Amino acid sequence: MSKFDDLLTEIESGIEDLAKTSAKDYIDEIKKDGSAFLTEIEEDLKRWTTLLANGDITGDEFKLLIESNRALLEMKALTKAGMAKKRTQDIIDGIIDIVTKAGLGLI
Amino acid sequence: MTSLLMSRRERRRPHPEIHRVWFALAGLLFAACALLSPYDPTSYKNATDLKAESLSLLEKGTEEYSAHATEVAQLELKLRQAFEYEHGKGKTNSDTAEQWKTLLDKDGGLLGGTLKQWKSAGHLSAALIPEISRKIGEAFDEIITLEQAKVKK
Repeated sequence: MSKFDDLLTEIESGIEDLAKTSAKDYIDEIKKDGSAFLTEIEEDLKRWTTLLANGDITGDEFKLLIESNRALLEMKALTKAGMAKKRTQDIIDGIIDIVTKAGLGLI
Repeated sequence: MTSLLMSRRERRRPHPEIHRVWFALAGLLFAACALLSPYDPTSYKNATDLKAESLSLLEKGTEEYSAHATEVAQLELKLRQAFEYEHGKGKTNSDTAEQWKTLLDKDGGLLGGTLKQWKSAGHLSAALIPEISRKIGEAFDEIITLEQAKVKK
């Protein structure tokens, strides 16, 4: 096997490890955040229904509160989308680093 | 002689796989430049300052809107300026610009909708203020979190 083939194998294995770690961390984070937000929505709904029933807030205000969770969920999704772009950028930087280091090893 | 020249040329010819690596590298470098706008201290300051200012004004929501109409108008102008600043950065900043749009949507459930409700009803219920302020605060935090995650150059 030539030195160049060794280089390609090293790059391939480095990229594989990088992708596995990044994907696992990302999925774990989404699961954790999603579960916490669902619990929050459930508690909000119980409290807001009581406030409405007691006349502490108006019907329009109740609707506003319900809508706030939908809008907030949209904002959280946008944060995740931005973070995903950042992770992709990190992975690309990582791959460039792996390729550069492996290439320098050939010299 | 010819065979000697051929062998020299072949010796100089790079390994065929090197082209694949350089193409891949060029593609990666191109992609790395185009994904997400960098961290911007002005964006961070706009978000943190306007969060404090908005929540502070909402504390007066139980009072008559007419008494605070000027303050609301001034805040709305600053919020609009912050949105335009983010929107102007282009496609790599679209997630942040979209977050500001959602926060300020007058028909939505966050800051824009709350200020509209205050204006149309004349005042807000005391019980609404802490509930909606928490959600608006969280919404600003999402903008701040995304800004902090961006690469500092």
